[in-house]
Amino acid sequence: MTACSVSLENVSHSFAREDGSLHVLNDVSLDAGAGEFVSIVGPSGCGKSTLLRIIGGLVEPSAGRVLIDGEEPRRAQRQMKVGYVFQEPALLPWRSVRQNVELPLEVGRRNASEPTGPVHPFPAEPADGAKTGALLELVGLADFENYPPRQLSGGMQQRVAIARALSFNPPLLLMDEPFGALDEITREAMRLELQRIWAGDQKTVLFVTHSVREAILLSDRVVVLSPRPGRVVATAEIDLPRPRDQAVEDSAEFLAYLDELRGALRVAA
Amino acid sequence: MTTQTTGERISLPDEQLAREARGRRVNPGQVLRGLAAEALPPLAALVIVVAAWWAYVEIDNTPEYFLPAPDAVAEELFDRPEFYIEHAWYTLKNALAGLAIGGGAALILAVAMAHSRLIEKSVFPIAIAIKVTPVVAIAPLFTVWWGFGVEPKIAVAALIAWFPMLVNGIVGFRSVEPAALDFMRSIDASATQIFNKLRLPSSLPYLIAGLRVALPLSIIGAVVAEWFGSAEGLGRVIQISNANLDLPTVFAAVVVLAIIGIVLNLALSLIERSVLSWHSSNQ
Repeated sequence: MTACSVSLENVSHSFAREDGSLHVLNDVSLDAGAGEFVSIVGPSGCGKSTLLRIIGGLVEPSAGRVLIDGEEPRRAQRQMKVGYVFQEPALLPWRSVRQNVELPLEVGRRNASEPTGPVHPFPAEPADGAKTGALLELVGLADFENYPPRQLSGGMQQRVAIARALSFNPPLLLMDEPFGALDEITREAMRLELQRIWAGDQKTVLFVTHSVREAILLSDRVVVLSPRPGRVVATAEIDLPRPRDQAVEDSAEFLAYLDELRGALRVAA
Repeated sequence: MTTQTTGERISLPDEQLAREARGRRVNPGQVLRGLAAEALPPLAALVIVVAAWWAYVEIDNTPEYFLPAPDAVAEELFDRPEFYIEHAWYTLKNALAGLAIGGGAALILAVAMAHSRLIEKSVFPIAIAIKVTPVVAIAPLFTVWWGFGVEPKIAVAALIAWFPMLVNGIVGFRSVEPAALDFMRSIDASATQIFNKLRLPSSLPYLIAGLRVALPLSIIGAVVAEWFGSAEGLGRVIQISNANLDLPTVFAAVVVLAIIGIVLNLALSLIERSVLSWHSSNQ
């Protein structure tokens, strides 16, 4: 499947609360072209996760609209166009690594042929063996396909979550601080791996993070949100050679981007 | 590719982990020793209790119609085992049927209540009212309605077993990791799929905890119901022999009930260990 474009038009959102409403997003407009890697950075609580949830069709925005290849998020979701990676791996502990990766395929088959009705919660037969094997190879977990998640480290679990999001080859990948809970060493390795995966088949990636460094290292473009209610305060095209590793972080260009974006965050606050 | 080296670097701890996991082989000697370590302390405690009981009866010269010695109880048991097996089967059968009916109804209700706060709000007070009403107060009524057959016993067992299953079911079906639920929704899973693939397996620890409470309760229910009119069952045996001051028989029936309880509890532990091997309580 080819990559797809995402376009946000004047998206605002408020959460209804007992003591009035909480305004989290204020008139956010942004576009991600097909195959583009766009990061959204902002201070914690600025609504960046909510923004991603709106794009993923998990939350209805109070105002404005989101189009994924010209369609509503819920429709894109139904066509299995959206792969979501959350901050926690959110694996199902009673399923092996392989069964976790194949979960979206099982769920998606409903739309094709599978009769609706009770399904056994512990399926014995995998969906598409060879494909899953290749995916696990891609995230470096080929030897662990039959392991229960609890026997894996946090970084390995998050790699399973990434493989799970990739299992149905969605053209759009939404990542909500996917490396936030990992240690520094694992995070470095995961950043490189993500670049490798992204370079392999140019998916559109929307990546939420609070780390400006991480955003610059990974993205074609970085969007900076202000504190709550979040609005776009700066956008920077990142023109650095790929693949980018730690060496890039010491280059003058990288530091210039870092300065620029940190400045934008400071001004916004 | 430049990423080749990094791929090797990060896969190193993985391989170590794999090697460690493969090295964890099951040793039969170890298993036996483990079992002995599990069984020995409770057996020793049991021996001490029985010895004290026996010593008391011997020293005090207690008459048998007041407190029979352990050997008298054992003699009674081994004298006519088929008698006890027959009555135990009657009681057990009713208890399990009651557990199945009460537990099944509770789970269906729990699914509905976990899905809708309105249903929970309207039905839960009734559930509490049924729960707080002493089952011994209702049991005679069932005998009036259904006579001396198995129906009132099954009904009492069902009535007493359903509440713990209901409460645990509601909590269980609701206790889903929010992020896992988000993921299911992000792949457009239907409510049925979310129930089958996420809510039901997540609730299993709670359902088994509910069974741990409901199972012995269902036996209590079946025994109590026999008090109010029955031709068979260990409850009936206890009632009649008690009236005749035939205490060895009373004790023998009580011992059989205890054995049933222990065996069912062990069976539940085995089921729990195999079904919930993924759960943190089994690590």
